Order: sequence, then structure tokens, then C-alpha cells
Amino acid sequence: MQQASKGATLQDAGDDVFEVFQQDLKRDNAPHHGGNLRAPDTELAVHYAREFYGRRQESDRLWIIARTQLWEIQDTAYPVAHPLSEACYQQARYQQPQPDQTAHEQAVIFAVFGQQVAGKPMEWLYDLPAPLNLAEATQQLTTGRVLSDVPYPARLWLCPRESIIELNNTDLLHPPLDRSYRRLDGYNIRDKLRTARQRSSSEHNQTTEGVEFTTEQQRGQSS
Amino acid sequence: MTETSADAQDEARVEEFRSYVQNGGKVEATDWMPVEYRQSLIRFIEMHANSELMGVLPERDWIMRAPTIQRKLALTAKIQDEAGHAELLYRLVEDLGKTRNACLDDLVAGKGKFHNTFHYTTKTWADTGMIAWLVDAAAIVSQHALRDSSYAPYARTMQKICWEESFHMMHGRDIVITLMNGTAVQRAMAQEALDRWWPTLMVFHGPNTPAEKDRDMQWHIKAKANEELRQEFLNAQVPRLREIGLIIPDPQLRYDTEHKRWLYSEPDWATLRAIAHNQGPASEERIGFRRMTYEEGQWVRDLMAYRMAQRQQHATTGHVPLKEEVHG
Amino acid sequence: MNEIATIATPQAIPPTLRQPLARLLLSLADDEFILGYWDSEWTGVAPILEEDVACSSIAQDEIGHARLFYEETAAIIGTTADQLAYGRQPAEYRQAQLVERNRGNWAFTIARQYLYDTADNVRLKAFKDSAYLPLAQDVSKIQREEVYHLMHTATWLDRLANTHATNNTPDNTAHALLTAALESLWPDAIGLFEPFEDEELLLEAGILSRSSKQLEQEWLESIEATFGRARLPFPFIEVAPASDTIQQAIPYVYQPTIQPRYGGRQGQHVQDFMELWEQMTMVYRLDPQAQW
Repeated sequence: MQQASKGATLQDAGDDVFEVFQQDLKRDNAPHHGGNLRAPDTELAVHYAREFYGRRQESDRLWIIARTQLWEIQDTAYPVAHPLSEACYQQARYQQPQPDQTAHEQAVIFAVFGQQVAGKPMEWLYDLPAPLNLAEATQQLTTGRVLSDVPYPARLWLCPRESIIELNNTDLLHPPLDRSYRRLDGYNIRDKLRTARQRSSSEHNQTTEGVEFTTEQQRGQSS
Repeated sequence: MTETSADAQDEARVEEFRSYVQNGGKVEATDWMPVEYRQSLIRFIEMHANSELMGVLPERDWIMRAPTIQRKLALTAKIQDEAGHAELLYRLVEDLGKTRNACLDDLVAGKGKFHNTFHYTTKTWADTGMIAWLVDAAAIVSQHALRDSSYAPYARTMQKICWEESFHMMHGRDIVITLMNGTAVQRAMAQEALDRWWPTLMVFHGPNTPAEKDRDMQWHIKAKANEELRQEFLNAQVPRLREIGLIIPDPQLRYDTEHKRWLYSEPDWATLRAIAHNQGPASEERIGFRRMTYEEGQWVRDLMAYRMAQRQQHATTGHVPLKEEVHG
Repeated sequence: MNEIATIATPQAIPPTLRQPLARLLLSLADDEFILGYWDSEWTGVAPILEEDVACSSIAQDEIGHARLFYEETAAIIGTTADQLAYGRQPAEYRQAQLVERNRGNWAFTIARQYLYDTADNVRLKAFKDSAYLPLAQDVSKIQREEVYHLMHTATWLDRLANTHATNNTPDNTAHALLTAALESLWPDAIGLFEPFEDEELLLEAGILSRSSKQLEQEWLESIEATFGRARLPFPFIEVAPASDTIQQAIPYVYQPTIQPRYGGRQGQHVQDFMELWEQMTMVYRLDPQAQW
């Protein structure tokens, strides 16, 4: 394969994009979207998900989903392959859906994600109870939207349940040794600060709350 | 990313969009957006990504030289965060339409822009403390404000970045306070580092551009004006520097209680402009180093691309291709 | 066979075992510390940005493991971890030469990491049963973190090695680079299990449960198949064991066809390390009494 010309297409990096959902069991009721990453394959995608969404022990589990397995529904009767994957990529803009889209003819269980509040991340809502093909799943969700009395998420994502790769290994997400050096609570500067303040104010013989002294004054008084 | 002049961009729609974002409306990656908005975002976020990546270079030498195990770990973690943030930000730019390879190609060719601060060299251990404390404090002020950006993926990434960076500033301050509590040599080292870094910190937030002229504010990509960010930075950090005995090397720096703002010597904007064209003190060396390491790693990226192509070919044709067919 | 008494604390170590145990712990600490340094050298410059972050985590883990071993050593001989890490002369460090070579290219890093992680895996398993309880406890925590390292290295070895090409393709290039890296690394890798003078004493006390020679053989056995499948250099031949009670458990012994490079455990180090030591201790040496 020729070295791709500069700045060309998605393919030149040889990667796929994976969406990552994360959940801290103590704080979150459901996995929510953390972000996405590129990886050459699913195995490395899992490694990288752990790095980007778990290296601070902030997650108890991660869901890693290839973007090619996600469909987005935006106020339409038909799903669109996530507009940011493959052919839609260059435009990265909402396109008219193709009613005769043939992807996913077979019936599978779909997981449904939605954005409940504008600006907030997508969140897992539920799994559709019965196996359906993509067209049927979309139909069910858009009908639900139209008939629903309660506010319905403006944006929905679907993916086959079986496409979700879950990482919940405690050795990877909560390794046992001390990592306080990378957390705020690993630092205690109170005593050091007091020492520094005391030394500084005794050297300069002036209040440390002063606001209008100039540097000339400071230099004149330093030992 | 080519301009799609083929689409007649409805002027009314663009105006509607502008007023939508100015009123706090949020935009997601898959939403419609004016071409100019998209291009402004790409430029803004790409520069942010480049800055995180180039920011690694002045600091990484000191991982080797860190004088305690704790400092070595903390510094490694800090720099790791920065590389990670670059990755998150390049991802955003890709979803807007410019590939990471294109960004990196521009960067190593000297065409990509990155923040002025990272065009400077580090000289002593004290620099590590000053950078982690003050450069990160300045960056945090900007990043906090960006959590309100109209472009929601960027705003969410800022939240993540702010959370991850919370220990960086503390780590830097810990280093500097420890030096100030140490020997006369250590205190002098700290002061000397501050003397060198102060000028670049004063230009960190950019010139005092009025909001009406600032395109990025028009689109609500950023929500606060440069001078306002600089004032926030000074408010928070000047007292903290002075209380431990450091002297700020600007004789004009003082707080005007009547107008409730900091007054300071006019920064050297000419140097800042030179840096914007990648002509800072260490720019060429940094870009050269980045280019060299980028090229050294090309075979790895080629390998991954090759494998990807093979997998795709296999998927569409249903047979495993001979290597000769795929190659060349 | 004598009943082996467990040693629960540093204070309980019999006097004759103090220095040998301290030296053993130092070699474990130094291996991790120096390797951790070279892994962190990829920060900011790894070929793929995501790998930058992954390598850095691995480096931090290694430095963290080193810290644990330095602290154990410090508790025995009465000093601090930092003084051990930074305050010795080059000849007093006890890492294997494998870990002190410059990071090299990506293939070199992966090859070295694979050799080290698989060897360390065998070594750590043997320490889990150590009579010295603090060591056994530390090791069981460290092993849980090493899971990720092994996963990561094996994944990359596979990616670099997996080729059927005979002509000039990217994966053929990768395989060639990996082969070259391994050829230069094997002599050093054998040095990981260089026998050392206190072995007999530590074996008798149950602090070590296997000799260096035994560990070496277990390690080679654990990786032979991988190297065979990937058609990577494995410079050993299998010979019948000497009539020796220890060896009779296995049908054959791996013997190197190359000259091993020993010396690390005796404080003999290569130029790369001398340069690293200069840089590494530079700030510390400005004032070893100072707080940083």
C-alpha cells in the first residue's frame, strides 16, 4: 500500500473510531459517553479505553463500541449510519437518510442511548426487549417518540447489544498500588505554605495581604 | 477540509445559528453548522491540540532529572496527561473534518500554530515547578471558560481536561514552595525561573482584543475575552507568588483598587507576533525534534494502515489477498 | 528438609541474611527503575499518540514498583528510598544490562519489554511464596498490575511479528526490525537470570524458592512457542540435563547458542547507563541534603 498522500482521508491512519462509555458505579446510574478514540483494532481499542477513561481509576466499567456499529436517529423515521463514520466523514454533516438502507437485516437486541439534556453526554437508556432488525427498531423508537407524553431525548443512538465490548477487570481499572502522586488529595501544602509565609513576612517585614506595594519597595527591603 | 461552496449557505440560516449560539445554544458534531463556524473551530481546537503536544517537549527532559521518585512520577503523569489531551483534541478536529495526520504534517512543516509559551526553553529544575504552577494556572483559566463553549464536544472535553489537570498546578506549587523553604541556592533558582517565565505568562492569554472583533467570541466558541482571562490569572496567582517571598519582575505591576484591575507593563507583542509565525527562541529546534521523532515512527503507522487495508479488502472480497495485490 | 521459618518484618531478619536480602531487593528495584526510565522516554514522541499514553502508564507502574522495592530495602538497611535511587555510584547499581540500553526504536522497545515482562512474570511468581513476608505481599500486588503490561506487550509483539510476506511490505519491515532488535537483545536478556553469590543462602532460607538457573529455564519454556510461531530468533538448543537432582523434573535444558552478557548484578554497566546516571542524579547531586 502506498504511503497515503498528506492530509488525505480517514484511511491513511489505518484506524477505526471507537466510542467509549464509562460508569462509576458509586455515582452513575448508567454508563454515559466519555468520548471516542482511534485504534487499529478492537484489542488495542480496549487497551486505549482503559488509558483514556480509566487510568485515574475513575471508572468501574467501560463500554467500547465501534462507530461502524452505531446508528444515530435525529427526528426522522430512518436511521443514519453514525454520520461521522465512513462515507459521511468528510462532510460530517447530517445527511438525508436512505430508507432502503440494507445494513442489519438480521434481528438483534439493540441498546439505546439518548441525550437527555442539551450539551450533556449520551447515556444508556435501555435495551429494546425483543430482537429486531434496524428498520423495526427505528420504527419502534420513533413511534415511541411521537406518542410519548414525557420529554423524549432529541438525539438517540442505537447499537447491537453484542457489539458492546465491556471492560470491568478490577486489576486494570483499580490497580492496587499507590497513585496519589497524580491526585489533588496526594498533596498537602498547608504546613509548607505556612513555613514559607512566615519566612517571607519576617524577611520583608510587611504584611502578606498588601496589594499596592511595588517591586522597588520589595527589593529595597529584602536582605 | 474543502469549502463546499456548492451548498448555497442560506444567510438567514447562518444568522439564526449565530444568534442560537450566542444565546447559549449547544452544537453537536453531527449537527448542521455554517462553514465559517466549522473552520473557526478547526483552527481554534487544532492550535489547542498542537499546544498540548508541543508543551510536552520543554518538560520531558526533566523526567530524567527529577530529584526524587515522587517528583519523577508526578512529572511523568503530568506530561502523560498533556499527550492524552492532545489526542482528545485532535479527535475533535478529525470529527470536524481535518485528519490528525494532516495536522501533524502541518506541525512538522512549521505551518501548524501552537501556543507561544512552548516556544521557550527550560534551564533548571525550578522551571519545572514554574511551568506546572503558572502555565497550567493560566491554561486552567482559559479552559474553565471554554467549558461554556457552544461546541458541546469541545466543552465536554474541557471538563475532562480541567478535572485531569487539577493536580498539575498543585504539583508545581509544591515544587516551588519546597524550593522557597530550602537553601539560598534553591530560592535563587526559583526566583531566576520566575524572572524568565513571567514575560511569557503576561502574553499567554493574547492581546486585549475587543469582543466585537473576536470571531471566536462571535461564535461563542470561547466565552470570555482575553483581558478578562488575564485579570483572573493575575488575581489568583500574584498574591500566591508574593506570599512565599517571590518577586514579580515587573516594576509596573500593581492592583488598582479603584478600577479593580491589575495594571502592568505593556507586554512585548512584537515577539508574540513573531512566535505566531513559529519564530520563537526554541521554535525551530522544537519543530525539528517533533519532525524527527514523527518520521522515525512512520513505519509503525504504515504497518497499522497496511493491516487495516488488508482487513477491509478481506471483508469486501471475501478472500485473503496475496500480499502482492495489496501492495503497490 | 528443614522447616522454613517465615520472616514477618525487617527487624526479624537474621543478621547473616540482611545484606543478601537487601542486595536482592535492590536488583529488583534497579531493574524496574531503569526500565521505567527508558519507557518514559517515549512520552510525547511515541509513533502513535495513544501509545504515548499507554507507555507512560507502564513507565509509571514500573517506577512505582521500584519505589516499593527501594522502600523495602531502605527499611532493612536504614536509609530512604530516594537516597537509594539517587545516592549511589554507578557501580553500586544492580540492574541487568538488558534494562539499561537506550530505548531504541519502537521494535527495540517492544522486544525488550516482551523479554523483560515474561521473565519478570516467572520471577514474581517465584517470590509469591517467599519466606520474607513483606516481599511476598508486595509481589502479589505488583503481579496484579503486571497483567496489563503483559497484555500490552504481547499484543504489540504479535502485531509487529505477524507476517507471511516475503517481499517489501510494511509488515515485512516490522518483522525485520523486530528480528534485528531481538538479536541484539538476547545476550542481555539472559543476563536477567545471571546467578549471584548469595543465592544458596537465600534459597536455604526460603526467601528465594527457585534458583536463577531454574527461573531461566522456566522462562525460556514459557516463551519458546511464541517465538517459534512468529519465526523470531530463539538462540537456544535443547540438551539432555546433567545428572542433577534439580533438573530431573524436565526432559531437557535450554542452552544458549550465543554468549550471554553478564555483569549487571555485579555492578558492571554499559555506557548508556553512565550517561543516564549523570542526567538522573544531576539535580539531586546539586545538594543531596536538600528537600526537593
